[in-house]
Amino acid sequence: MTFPRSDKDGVAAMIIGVDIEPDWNLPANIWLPIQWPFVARKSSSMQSASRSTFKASSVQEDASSLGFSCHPVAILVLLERPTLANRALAILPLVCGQKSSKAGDVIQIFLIDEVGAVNATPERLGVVGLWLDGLAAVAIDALEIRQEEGRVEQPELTGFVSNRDPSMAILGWEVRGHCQRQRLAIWALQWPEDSVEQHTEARLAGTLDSVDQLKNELEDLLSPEQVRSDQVELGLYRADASTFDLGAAGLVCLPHNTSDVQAIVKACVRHGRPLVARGGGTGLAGGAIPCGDRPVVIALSGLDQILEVDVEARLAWVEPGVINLDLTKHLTPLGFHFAPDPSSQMASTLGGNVANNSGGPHCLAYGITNAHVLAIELVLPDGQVGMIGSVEGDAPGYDLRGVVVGSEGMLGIATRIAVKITPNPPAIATLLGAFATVTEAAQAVTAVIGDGLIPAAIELMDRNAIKLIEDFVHAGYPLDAEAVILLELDGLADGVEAMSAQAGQIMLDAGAISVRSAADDVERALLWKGRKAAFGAISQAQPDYYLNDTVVPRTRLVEVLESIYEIAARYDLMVINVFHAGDGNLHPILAFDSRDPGRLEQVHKAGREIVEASMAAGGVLSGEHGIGVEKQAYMSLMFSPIDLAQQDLLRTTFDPNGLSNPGKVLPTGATCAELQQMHTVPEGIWV
Amino acid sequence: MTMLERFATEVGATDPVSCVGGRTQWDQAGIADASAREVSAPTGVVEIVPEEMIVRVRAGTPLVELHQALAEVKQRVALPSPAELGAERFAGTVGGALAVAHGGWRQLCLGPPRDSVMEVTYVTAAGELSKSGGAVVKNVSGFDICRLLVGAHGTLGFMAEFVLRASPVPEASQWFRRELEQGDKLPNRVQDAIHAPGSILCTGSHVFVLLEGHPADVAADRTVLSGLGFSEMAEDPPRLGRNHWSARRGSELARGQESGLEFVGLTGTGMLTANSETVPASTLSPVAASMNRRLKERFDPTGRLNPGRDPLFGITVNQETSS
Ligand SMILES: Cc1cc2nc3c(=O)[nH]c(=O)nc-3n(C[C@H](O)[C@H](O)[C@H](O)COP(=O)(O)OP(=O)(O)OC[C@H]3O[C@@H](n4cnc5c(N)ncnc54)[C@H](O)[C@@H]3O)c2cc1C
Repeated sequence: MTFPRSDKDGVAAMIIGVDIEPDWNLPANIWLPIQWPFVARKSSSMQSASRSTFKASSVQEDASSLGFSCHPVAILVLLERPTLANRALAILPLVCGQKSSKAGDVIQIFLIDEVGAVNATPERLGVVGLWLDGLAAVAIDALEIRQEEGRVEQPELTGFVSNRDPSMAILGWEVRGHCQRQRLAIWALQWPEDSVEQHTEARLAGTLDSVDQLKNELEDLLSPEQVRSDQVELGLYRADASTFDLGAAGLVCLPHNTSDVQAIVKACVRHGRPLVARGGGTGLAGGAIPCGDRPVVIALSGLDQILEVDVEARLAWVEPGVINLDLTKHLTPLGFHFAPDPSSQMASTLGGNVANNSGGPHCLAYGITNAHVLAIELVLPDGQVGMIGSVEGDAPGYDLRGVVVGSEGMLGIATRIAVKITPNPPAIATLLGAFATVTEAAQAVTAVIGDGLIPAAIELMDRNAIKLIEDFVHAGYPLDAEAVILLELDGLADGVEAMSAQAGQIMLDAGAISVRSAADDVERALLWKGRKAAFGAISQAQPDYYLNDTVVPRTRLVEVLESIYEIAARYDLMVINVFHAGDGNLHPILAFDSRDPGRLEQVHKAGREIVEASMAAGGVLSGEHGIGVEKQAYMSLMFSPIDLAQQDLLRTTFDPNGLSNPGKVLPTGATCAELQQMHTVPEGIWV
Repeated sequence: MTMLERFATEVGATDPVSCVGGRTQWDQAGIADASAREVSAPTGVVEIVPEEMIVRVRAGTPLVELHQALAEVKQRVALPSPAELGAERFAGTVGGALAVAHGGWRQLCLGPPRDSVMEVTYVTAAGELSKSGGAVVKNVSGFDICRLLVGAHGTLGFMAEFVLRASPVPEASQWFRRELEQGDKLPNRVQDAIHAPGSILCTGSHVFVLLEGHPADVAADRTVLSGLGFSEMAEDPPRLGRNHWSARRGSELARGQESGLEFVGLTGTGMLTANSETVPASTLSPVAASMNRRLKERFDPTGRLNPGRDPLFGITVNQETSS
């Protein structure tokens, strides 16, 4: 079986797959230069040996269509005339897996459904075969590929990956394709022989021996296929969705259960090797980046079982690798959902949500993750396992559960989590207010809150966002507006009706040009689809983005937004504001092309100024993405040395050896950059 | 020198010291060492920002004062009010309430008191002022020391000032009551029938339901409750007891009945209260118990803060293995 070459008649191909099977035969007609994706259903015999290593989990789909709904399928996309352009842009977030030893072998490609440039966990979606002497492939702007009786609907755009994607670099692949919106896109991926070795040799020099010993031990404790040391695979785990490329993993472990995690942690302690827990890899602050002396990455996405749902107690026990949206989908038939709904909910895991104390649009009324976690089975940094928190009232003593939520994987690894489940609201109203100025929109937000209304969500999008989103998903946002507010109220029908009339009037009084209410669930889904597709939409403008996250008092939104526009203009950066306005949680997105020399550094400088402007207005460093490596150096803007020493005291009480996710959050000790000296460090970030 | 700095100086860095609020919950978490020097946190509501729904208040402020100040702007916080605990216990302070961290009737809708704490300024065992959290509604900057201090009975640091999250007082609010019949899981039926009840209290004989929110919603739910045999009440529901224990959420009534005590259960929160020293003991995993001890040792190495107090007083460490 050979794949079409990129240089042959401009044909390229793509495979998306979710599992590997030794005897998997690709259909013969993949040679046909067809225009639309060809979908091959997988046979039921997918429970091959590989399943233990690579778990196929259901592929996501949600109202925002940032996902694809086909469970086990392989999709081959063959393009007749790929548009090659010089700007690197590829649409399907793709992460590649195990390299082949020789041309002609089957290698494994991992693909992820995610939102934005997320280098998420490879094994989640599994693998497909890719033939080396062909070229590989590529992305589509696809990804609402619904599988209804083999029919594939119009694909739509999802996230993107740029040349900066670590897996691209490590493979020596170059992204040469460019996608047009609503078209199939191409990556002309090439696989230079030996590139992998060349690329990784330097990074790993000197450390492999000591890792080898640990590797042997872990292979005995677990099983060989749960311990990955292939350099390509290690490369896959060296970054997350943030803009930081600083890490290097020593080993990647794929535990199946709590005792596996415990065994890994204990082995790391014995060898004095740092470790990093990883969920979906969608973190935006670099929390899952392996910093320090080649940490062992503990990839938890294989622990993906929903263990128990107790409707009477209104709780669910889940494993940490369960995807946020999977839990909600599981609860839907029971009339419940999991309230925290980060925009990444189709790709991020409950373990990651807990570690980052994640929020989402609906956290305005329902509270962020901490308010929804009852108990955690925690593997402490020394390898002990125990339950913190309780499903029975409040656990006595100090609120250990409360400090572990949001501790960015530094106080232990969650291996089972009990979360509250929330009844679905009987009625929902979704309003779209259009404004002639961002200022009026921001004032309307303050007015709504000031009037005593607590909507389920209030999201604000500025002109740049509206334009990109409209071009991208046609959500029905007014193109003549400078800003729109998406406001949702939920509860009982009568109250919702009355409150939405009230909210609509407040917006009009604040100067709204128009206020529209979603007529039905379809329209509501479309309005939300626009909001949630915002990050993907940016790919039309620039190949890279830096999404900042600060919170300011709601009454200071206007002035801080003005500062943000001014900062972006000064650095000649496109800024897109799409944010949780109801809680003053700003998300300015700086769109850029990282291949412009010096651009990333400028972006980080602009980011710092945005943080400073937020702090000057009485804000905080992060509302939901966490500190990670991104804002570590800014901690002293918010906390005194004494405050930081107290935080460090907490950390060292849990982790006296400092092995659990080192180089994050606290600016004390070595930063990731210092630990990773062989890499260039963005100027101005590591002070 | 600010009030907070003066408080820090007063706490000092060397001798055993007890932080005194209103002494209304002095019986909680062990027996205070009477020989320790006593200090009290500064008082006063510093600032209420209604548009931000936040209040900055010093820890020594009487709870009554805080509730009154917020009532003026039609807002409230998730801390118990006099009616909920009884006037004598209500002479307490904001700091005391948060050191003990017992919630009131509305925990089901407002959440536990700790969820309303956005920022704490406190005095460390070394007598230094430190701060955790921030004065905005959403914040994940750094480790959340606030979580540790709230409910710690002053054993890790003395809280001096808080920023608390407030919320609007709902337009409509009404309690309902119904007698309990043997074997009826009435509280659960109410929880299933009402979308977002303000509170569902149960005793051995009655179930009490609070409806709060938009008048239209309260009216709709009132009909549902009537259908379940509830009637409106003019007086307050029962006060919560001094002693607490827990149950799996949703089984508060059954656990209360089993206890043989005169209890008040807070349906859906896993909390039960009674005025009795013989409430069932709460349990804790060995790992959690040892983390509690380690935290105390690290945050207060000489054991000078609130000597005699122990948040694990009377707690049973369960037999879960911790290999
Ligand atoms: C397009 C996009 C939109 C986003 N929108 C939002 C949003 O609306 N709100 C929001 O809050 N965030 C958002 N995020 C950020 C991110 O998705 C969240 O922080 C998410 O919770 C991370 O989950 P993850 O499973 O990907 O974790 P990872 O990125 O894999 O890890 C994050 C941190 O959690 C730790 N960790 C992971 N699993 C465990 C575990 N089991 N035990 C202990 N520690 C663990 C890791 O060590 C790391 O420090 C967005 C990201 C993207 C790319």
